Amino acid sequence: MPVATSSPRRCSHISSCELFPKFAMRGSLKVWHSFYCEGNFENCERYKRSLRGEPVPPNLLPNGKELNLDVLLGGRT
Amino acid sequence: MSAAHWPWWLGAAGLAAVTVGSCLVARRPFGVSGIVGRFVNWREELAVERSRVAMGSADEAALEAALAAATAEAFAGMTPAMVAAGPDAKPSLSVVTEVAAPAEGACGTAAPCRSCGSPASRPTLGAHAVFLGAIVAGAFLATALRGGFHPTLALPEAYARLVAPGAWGLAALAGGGLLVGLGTTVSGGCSTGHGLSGCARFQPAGLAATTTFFGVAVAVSFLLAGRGS
Repeated sequence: MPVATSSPRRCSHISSCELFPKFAMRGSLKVWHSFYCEGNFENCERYKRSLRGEPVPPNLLPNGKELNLDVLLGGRT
Repeated sequence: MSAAHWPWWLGAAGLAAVTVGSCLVARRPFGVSGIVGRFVNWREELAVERSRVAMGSADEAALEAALAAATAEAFAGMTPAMVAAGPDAKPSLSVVTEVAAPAEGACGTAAPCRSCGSPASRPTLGAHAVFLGAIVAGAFLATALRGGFHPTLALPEAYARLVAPGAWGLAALAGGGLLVGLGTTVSGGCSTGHGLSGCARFQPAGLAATTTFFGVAVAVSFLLAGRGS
């Protein structure tokens, strides 16, 4: 079985992606890396918006869903 | 042509420096219309900047927990083998759309472009406001250095003769400006983005756009010159 992290398909926006380093916070989160950043990055919503020149919310996940900022901040917003 | 203008080669060198400098420093293609476009969508831009601030102030443990929950939800229907297969996998994720990949950045917009290397983070709206303000300030400065600023609605004699005098001439200018705005939006860049950044990097979109608008401009100029003679 090939290991996804060795794939030559690597998103060119990794260095500027705000979420990429956050997916390294825990081992189980690295599934985002292997599935999107180093694989199916053409379907990453962040990548697509960036290519269109649109602003990319920092809480936008590659699958198009957003992390709830209210929950993250514990109602501080 | 006024004698106060810079020699062509000096202007060309300046434009080249700005174009290459944008790629080297900002790692983004240089384009004005894309920056102007950000201010058209200023509400969305500001909302993103606010969420960036909020995300930055979030507790790390809460962020990690939220990401873990989102990960569990997103990859719930997938086996490790499917994940490892990456792009060859057919995920059952309801939120993954089967949309064809968009074309790479046309290098004529504010969008990143592969030929400038990995894109840097997007400048803030404030930074781009400073940039646009500096364009206006630079134009005022250049005008002042060339003999002062004397705004007028009077059309230049050649323009009035070739296009139209008076109100019709002003209406033609307004209509032309509208078409330029529509064209830059549809084509993904303006004369700066496509003409300078796109052509300098041999981007197909930039070459096609520049060939089109420059060719049409030359043809229309000849037509108007023939009509006005």
